[in-house]
Amino acid sequence: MLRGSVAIVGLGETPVGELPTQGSTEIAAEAARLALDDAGITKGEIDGLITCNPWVEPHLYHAEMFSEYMQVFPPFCMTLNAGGATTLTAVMRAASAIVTGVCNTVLMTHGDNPRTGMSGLETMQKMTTTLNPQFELPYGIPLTNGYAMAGRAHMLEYGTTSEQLAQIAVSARRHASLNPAAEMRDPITVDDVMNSRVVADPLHALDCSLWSDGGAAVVIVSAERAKDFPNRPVYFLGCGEGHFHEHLFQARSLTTTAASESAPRAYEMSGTNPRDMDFAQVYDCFTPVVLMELEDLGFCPKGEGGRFVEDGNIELGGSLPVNTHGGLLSHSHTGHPGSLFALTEAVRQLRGTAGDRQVKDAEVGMVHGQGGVLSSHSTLILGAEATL
Amino acid sequence: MTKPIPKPNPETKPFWDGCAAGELRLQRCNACGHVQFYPRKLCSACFSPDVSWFTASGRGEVISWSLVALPSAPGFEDELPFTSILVKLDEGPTMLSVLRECEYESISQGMPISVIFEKRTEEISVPYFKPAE
Repeated sequence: MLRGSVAIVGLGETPVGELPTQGSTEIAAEAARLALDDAGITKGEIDGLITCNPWVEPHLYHAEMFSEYMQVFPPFCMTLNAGGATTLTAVMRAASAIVTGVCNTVLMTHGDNPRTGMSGLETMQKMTTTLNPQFELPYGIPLTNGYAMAGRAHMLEYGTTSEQLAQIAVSARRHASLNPAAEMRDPITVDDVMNSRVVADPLHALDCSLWSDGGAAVVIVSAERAKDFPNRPVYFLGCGEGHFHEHLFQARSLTTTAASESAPRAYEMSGTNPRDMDFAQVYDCFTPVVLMELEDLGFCPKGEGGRFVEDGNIELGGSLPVNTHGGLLSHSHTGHPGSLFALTEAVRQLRGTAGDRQVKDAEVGMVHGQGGVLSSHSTLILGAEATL
Repeated sequence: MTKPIPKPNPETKPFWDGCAAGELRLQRCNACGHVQFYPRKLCSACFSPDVSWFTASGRGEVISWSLVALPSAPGFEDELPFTSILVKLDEGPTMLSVLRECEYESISQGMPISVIFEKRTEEISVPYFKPAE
């Protein structure tokens, strides 16, 4: 019912990095303006709005606040909050709303400025608000160490090495070096990662994503209308979610994530399988997450992720280019808007406008997001017109 | 800054009362036998409301660990570095905690550990772990 029903016809991205003169609402508005320009429409045509609460300037009813700020009055207005999975879940929500006739033209925009808009202490305090207040918070353990413990579990269970994890950061940086919009563009080596400061053993500083200001937006319409817009439409083929836990100590497994459920759902809806993907933009807040996702998404057998990334499969020219924009590791990590840049990159790849980092003849691609600590997972599969 | 003090609610108060008394208390479902943590009014396996408290062994094993070496949440500055752990309790459930009285380099997966308590107020003690004797 949803396969091929809607398409992304507009994308907008603000600069990323340090945006000290802008607030999060302003950044989201700028991303929205760029996406509307790209789609060739005015704000008055928006009748669906999806936002996500930023860390800086949050609002209890964020989407309602944002509709007021923009002075648009849509019949479909929602704030989604599943961490890094929000963006892709939102595309499915938008598709459902359009298919059921609730609205016609959905704008999804996220913006945040956690890099310059918050002090280190504020960031730490915000980070810990996702922890269980009685059974995690009392220990003063940062989120990074949660990911580190999951990464170690994978190393212990499957023999994954720090060098293999480092290769993921190296590949992301190589892609970022081809992307003028990326924050970190100087190539790095496995040795550079291994020699960077140990942040949360076994994770080094370069195993960790950036922390950035920035925002991005997309415009989604029905497939019937999609060709009336100036850019080549990129079609929704399938999406699936998976949720195993919120707090890491409640995880069903430390090494198999709910991507193992979100992906089959997305493959089924889209009628595709892992071998069909011309690229995958997967959530890379820390390098072990990429490894587990590649396995759970079906790109290699469980436990083989280390060897898969070692062989160069995830670089441009490899069997599955991953995070062709540079990912959260090297493009930017803007908090909740982070995975929206993975989505806009996927759209660009399927339009065929990704420049030096274009995947040749890309027709089908995946975007995968995760939120919390390996908690919420959402897998989105997009295609060019030929895949309909 | 002082360390955070957990605020018990009606579901969790028996757990925190146990910690204050030096006992690690868990819940067992009388319908299906499932042992659960964190505390809930209903069994998380079969959703039966017939759940009872019991005093657990306080023993478990290390599943995974990581060194918290950089400044973290306020209140923990004087403790750095310390070792975060995920513990599988002998009765089944998993907890997040901190391992004390142990050289970091000597930790291994499956290492047996036992609970100790850190008193934060008269009412609240927080469960930590140390290598089992």
